[in-house]
Amino acid sequence: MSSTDATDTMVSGKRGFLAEWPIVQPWLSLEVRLAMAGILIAAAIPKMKDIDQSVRAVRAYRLLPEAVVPLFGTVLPYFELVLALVLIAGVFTRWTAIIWLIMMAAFVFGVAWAWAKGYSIDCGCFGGGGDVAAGTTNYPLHMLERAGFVALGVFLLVFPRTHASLDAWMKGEPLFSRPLMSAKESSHG
Amino acid sequence: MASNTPQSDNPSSDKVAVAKKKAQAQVNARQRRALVVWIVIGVILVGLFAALIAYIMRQGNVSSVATATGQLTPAVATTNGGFGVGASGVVGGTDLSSSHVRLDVYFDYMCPVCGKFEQARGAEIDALRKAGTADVYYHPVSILDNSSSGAAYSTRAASAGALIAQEAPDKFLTFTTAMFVNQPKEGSTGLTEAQIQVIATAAGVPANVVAKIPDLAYTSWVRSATEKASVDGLTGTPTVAVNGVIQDSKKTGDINWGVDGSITTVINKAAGK
Repeated sequence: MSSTDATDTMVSGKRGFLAEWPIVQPWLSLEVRLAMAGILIAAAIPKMKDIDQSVRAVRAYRLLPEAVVPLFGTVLPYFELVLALVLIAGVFTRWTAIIWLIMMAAFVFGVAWAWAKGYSIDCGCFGGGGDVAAGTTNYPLHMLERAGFVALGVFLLVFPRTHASLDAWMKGEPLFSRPLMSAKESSHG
Repeated sequence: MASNTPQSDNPSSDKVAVAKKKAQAQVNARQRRALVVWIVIGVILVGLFAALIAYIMRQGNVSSVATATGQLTPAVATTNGGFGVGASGVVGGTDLSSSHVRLDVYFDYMCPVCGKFEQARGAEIDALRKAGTADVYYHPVSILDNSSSGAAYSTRAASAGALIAQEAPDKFLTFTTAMFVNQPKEGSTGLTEAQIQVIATAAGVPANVVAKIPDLAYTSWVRSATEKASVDGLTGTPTVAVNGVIQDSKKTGDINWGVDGSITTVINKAAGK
């Protein structure tokens, strides 16, 4: 069947932003996807350059037993980098969004824990971490930042169809596909 | 079979062609999917492998100093990476005693707050030490290597500190004070080995010891000692510990070094004075 008719009907049936949505959404999702990848790379590279610092930042939360702290601190940046690559490729986008959200939930918990316990630590999210003078930890700002990251993840979870994705290539769809009706889209996803 | 019919306008023939095309597309899609799945699995495995190698290498590096060629462990240091100084001001001096209160001071030569700490509390700590109330264990750690534009100033400076503590134990305190007087800005590349040598010479360190500073023979030990300090609960610098207990400035009864006389009060109390 041709999706053109359905789309045209839909476009003509609506006004303004809603009418544009099927065209805008895959571009928006692409931007969100690449932004998430960029955030992960920005988080991973400084940690990889100073693994000791990454381990110390994990340790500073006093959440994990010492036996696993070095392993966690070392593996985390590699995991972030792999997730970034998967996001750039746009493969299994919905699942990637779910993994991102699980990760963010863990980080939000970590920051909330440190806040509740009154630890004066930097989150270490983008390298560094562990070392701040008492009272200088900006927990509300950290939480606001986390909220933004969660919003990105939720957007991609709800709208995983993006332009230039391996997901589309796998299905044999064009990389920059014509917009589809949302009903058809959800049956695809 | 409908596909054998030659007429192209036969509706059933069209249907079969469409079905065939669809089936072929499905096969292609399945193949592509399989390919992508294996590539993703491959990337994950490579990432995991790299992470495990990094982990194993790091574990080896932070736990033992002897494996690295040319690297030394300062024998004068305590097992937790401290240089003990008693009333005489000499590292590892015979005046150190377990009957004195033990004050551990963790600092990073790059940390600006440590410079302020040294300025504001150096004299107070020296007085407690000279009175024979407390033995002070200095821990030069390197937690700010990423704040010296890739020059790893914290590690290099702490390596020089360890060398001097080991080979010119009576000059360690003078050297450390001078290093804070000449402290480079956080985020700069720090001081060069030649600049550190000038400071050491001015502090009275013998020339044969000064000559060894560029060898950076204690960087591996500094890394291990920093890891040990972190495991012991160090989360930032400067940090002080009284008789092994890391002090929390927000806790009543603990040292809050920002307050005048806080160190003296807590140490005297621990000494039973």
